[in-house]
Amino acid sequence: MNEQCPSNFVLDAFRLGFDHAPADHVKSCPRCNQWLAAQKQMESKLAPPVIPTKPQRSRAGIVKYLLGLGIPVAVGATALLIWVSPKPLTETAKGGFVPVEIARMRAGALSWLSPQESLMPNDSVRFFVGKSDVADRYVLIGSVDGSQQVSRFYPASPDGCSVPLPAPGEALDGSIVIDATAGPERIVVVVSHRPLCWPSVAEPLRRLALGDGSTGELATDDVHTTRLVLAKQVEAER
Amino acid sequence: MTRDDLIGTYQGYGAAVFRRCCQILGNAQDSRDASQEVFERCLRRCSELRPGPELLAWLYRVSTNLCLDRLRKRRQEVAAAPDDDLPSLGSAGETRLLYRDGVRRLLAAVAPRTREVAIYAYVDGMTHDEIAKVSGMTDRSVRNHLTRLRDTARRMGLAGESS
Repeated sequence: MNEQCPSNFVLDAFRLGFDHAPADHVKSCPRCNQWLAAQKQMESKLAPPVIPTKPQRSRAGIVKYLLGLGIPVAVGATALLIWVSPKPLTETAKGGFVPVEIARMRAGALSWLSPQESLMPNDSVRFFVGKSDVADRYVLIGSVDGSQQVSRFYPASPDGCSVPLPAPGEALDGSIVIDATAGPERIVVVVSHRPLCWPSVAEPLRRLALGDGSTGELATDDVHTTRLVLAKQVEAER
Repeated sequence: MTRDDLIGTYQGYGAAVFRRCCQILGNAQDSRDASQEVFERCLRRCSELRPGPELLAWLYRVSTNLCLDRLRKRRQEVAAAPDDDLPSLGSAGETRLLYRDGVRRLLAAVAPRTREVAIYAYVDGMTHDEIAKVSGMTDRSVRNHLTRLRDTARRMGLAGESS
C-alpha cells in the first residue's frame, strides 16, 4: 500500500458498495485494482455458511446444536433430549454428561453439526465444551475411528494433559481436520476437576469409545465424559 | 440482521475477514480457524448487527482482537514462515510486519487497545477517522494511543521501525 492508496478498510467498504469515495483513485491505481481482484477471487472461493434456520431436534442425540441461544439454554435443551431419549445414539459415562457443540467448516461453509450428519475427510471441526459441574476445569478430547486407534484431539501430544476449559461460548483453541480413515468417529469428551494425561487415559478412553464402559481414571467421580458417535462418509476424492 | 442476511452477505464479508486474519496471523490454517470463530461470534449476535459499514467495522474489530489474542497465545508459532497458500494481498512488508522481532516486542509491551490501534494504523494504513470508526474510540483516544505507542517505541529504541 502506498501513501495515496485508501486503507484496506476503505477498499473493503468500496468493494461492498458502502463507500464510493475511492472510485476515482481506484480507476487509475494498479495496486488497488490488484487488491480488489484478489478479493473478488477469494470471494468466489468462499461458499456461504450452511446454517439451520431452527435447531435440529433429535430424540437420539445428546448433542444439541443451538444457534443464537446461550450455553445455559443449550445445556438445558440437551439434558431434556437425553431425558426423553430411550435409545441415545451417544452415551454418557459415570459423572454425568458434558454439554458439547461442534462447529464444522466444510469447503468454506460454516455450520453447526447435528447428530444426523456425517463427517467427511477434510472437514474442519471446532469444539465448544461446557461444564458438567462448577468444579470442572479441564477438558481432554480423543476419538476412535475405524482403525480402532485413539486420535488425540486435545491435547494433540501423546504425553499431553488436559487443557483448561475455555470461557463459556468460546471454542477450544484450534480446529481438528478430519482424516480419510474409515468411520465412524467415536469422539469422547472428558471434562474433569484435575488434569488427566494421555498416557493413563488413552486406553480407558479407547475402551469407552468402543462401548466397553468407563474404567481407570475415567471412572472416578471428578471426571465427566460424553461419547459421540458420528458417521463418517469417506469418498475416494473430495 | 437475520441469519439469512448473513448467508447472503457472507462471501463479501468473509473475504474481508479471511484476508484480515491472514494479514495478522500470516498462516492460512490459523486464519481459517480465526475466520470461523469470527463468524461464530457474528452468528451469535446477528440479531444485534446490521449489514453495512457498521457490520464491516464490527468484523474488522472482532477479527483484529481475536487474531491479536491468538498471536499472544502462540508467539512461537508466529515466528514460523507464512504458508504457501496465503492469498497474495498487500505488500510483503505488510504481511511480514508482525514477524519482526522489534515490532513484536513493541506490541507485547503496549496495552491491548494500543496494540489494536497500532494494527489499524500501521498494518491497514487507516486514517485516524477510520480507526475511530472501526474501533469505536474517539479521535482523541486514537491519537493518544498512537502517541503512547511511539513513546514506547522510542523508549525501546525502536522508533525508527515503528513510526
